[in-house]
Amino acid sequence: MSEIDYAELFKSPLDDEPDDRSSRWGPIAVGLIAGVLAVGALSLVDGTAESEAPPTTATPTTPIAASSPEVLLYPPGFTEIAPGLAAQPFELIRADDTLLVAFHTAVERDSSPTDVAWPIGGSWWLGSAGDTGVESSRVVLGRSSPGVFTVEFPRSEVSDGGTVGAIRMIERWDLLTETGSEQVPFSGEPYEMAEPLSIPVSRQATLVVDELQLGRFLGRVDWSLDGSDGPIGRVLIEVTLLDATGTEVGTYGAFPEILDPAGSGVTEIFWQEPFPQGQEGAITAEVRYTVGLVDVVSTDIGFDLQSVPEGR
Amino acid sequence: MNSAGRFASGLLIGAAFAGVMFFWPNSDPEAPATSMPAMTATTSTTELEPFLEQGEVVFGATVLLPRGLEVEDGVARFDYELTGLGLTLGVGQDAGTSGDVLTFPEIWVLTTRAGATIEATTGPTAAAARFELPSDDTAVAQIEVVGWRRATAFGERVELPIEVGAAATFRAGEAIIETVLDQRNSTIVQIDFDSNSGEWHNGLLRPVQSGWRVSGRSGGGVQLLWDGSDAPSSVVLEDVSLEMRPVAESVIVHTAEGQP
Repeated sequence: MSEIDYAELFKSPLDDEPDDRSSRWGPIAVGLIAGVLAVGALSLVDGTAESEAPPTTATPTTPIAASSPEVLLYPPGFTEIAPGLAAQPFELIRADDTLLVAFHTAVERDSSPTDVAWPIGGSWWLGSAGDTGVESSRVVLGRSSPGVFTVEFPRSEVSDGGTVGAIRMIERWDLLTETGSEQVPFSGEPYEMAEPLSIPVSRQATLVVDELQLGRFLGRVDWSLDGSDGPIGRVLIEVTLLDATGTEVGTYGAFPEILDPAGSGVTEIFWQEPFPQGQEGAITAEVRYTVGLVDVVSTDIGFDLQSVPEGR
Repeated sequence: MNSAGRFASGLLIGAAFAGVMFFWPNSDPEAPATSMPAMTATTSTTELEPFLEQGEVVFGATVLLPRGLEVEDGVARFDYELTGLGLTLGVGQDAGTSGDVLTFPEIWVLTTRAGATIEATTGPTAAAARFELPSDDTAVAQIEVVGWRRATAFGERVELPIEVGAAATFRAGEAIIETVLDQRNSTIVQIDFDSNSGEWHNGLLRPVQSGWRVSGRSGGGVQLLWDGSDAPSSVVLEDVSLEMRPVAESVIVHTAEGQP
């Protein structure tokens, strides 16, 4: 067995260089500078982080917390059902032919309650203590506030069988909101639009204003959503009258009311401003729309109902 | 030692030197002098920053913000604000203001230090609860809310025959057909609504079938229009409403020592 000269095998080519004073101390000096620079840089990074952290009252003998505080985004008891939105069931109501689960909502901490979309609707599943369950028949939002909603189930063996165990949201309705406007000639009131107006609002859906009628105080918009997938949505429409210079004469607005997502509907509108000024001088009607197209998202978010009180 | 080894040695010495210089406690000459820290173990903890500030009370999706207690001339006045956390239409609200108050305090109980209890009631738009104190007992020990009102959404549907006098009963009241105008090419049906629950229940009638159109509203009632001569013999009416239902639950909102 031959003997291997490991010292020779692993030696660096630099080891063969002349061994003068500068070559001996050079690498140490370079390493020294590199070490100082590296640790100095680390201390600067550390110092920056400290300057952004909340002030601490820790005394020198207090253990140092290694992590930053975690922020609670919603009030206690709420569960997130969509980005920026949480819900909590608060009452179980047994009506004549339905069982209702009442919820309230909370937007994420520091968010504005007016800025969050309403992904409320879809399908829910009510489960008993066993393996049986029943699917919701619909979701009802308050007349004027989406802040509370009620999930409605048909009375069944599950709902009447005693203990209702849990409720799960199995489908969420996200709203893909599109806004815009389209102009048509206006010839004074009473006015009826000559022909239907088609407005593409997305690649999948077209808003069709089938009829537009404008009177002295009231108006009406018959609309529908066309598309290959049978789109439904929350549709808000108002009509603004413009004069020859493009200046607003006034607006027919809709009553602020929450309507269920639909594929067609009638929007009642009324002359809002500047009341009691009339429609004189207007030559253009601008149809302004907000269409929240329903995008169905599968979910599996559960809520325990064991401690939720029952009412009638 | 070869060059690489010497470089590594330099790196270690430099790092050690810099570590001492940069991380030595109280290296800031302006910092107050303290004793050298004792040996401590580094722990990994998760602090939860609470959702509420000190003294704030959340009930449902509404936060009650205490604004102070004043006792003067035998009357205790507890000021507060309510702010809604839930989704809102934002009607009549400026940007950045609070959301809908869907839960509000209704029944309050103040307890004096001598043990007397005084009740007060407030409504949805109130911003203060007032308590008439006994003349010789004006020291407040605590204030609690024992009764709340909380909004619940209902959507009831009832089929109503198109006949004058036909009635449908909802939680919020009764819908009665007052007039049926059978015109040649249309039918107009006027429906009145008698509310039975005042401010605690607001409803809105609307037809469920698409053929019926709302052509007017008056009070809680609605006027329906059917275009054409083939009006059906009935209409399914829906009352979509918010009922402010009472909730009995005690929450202390003020103590003599300050906010709970």
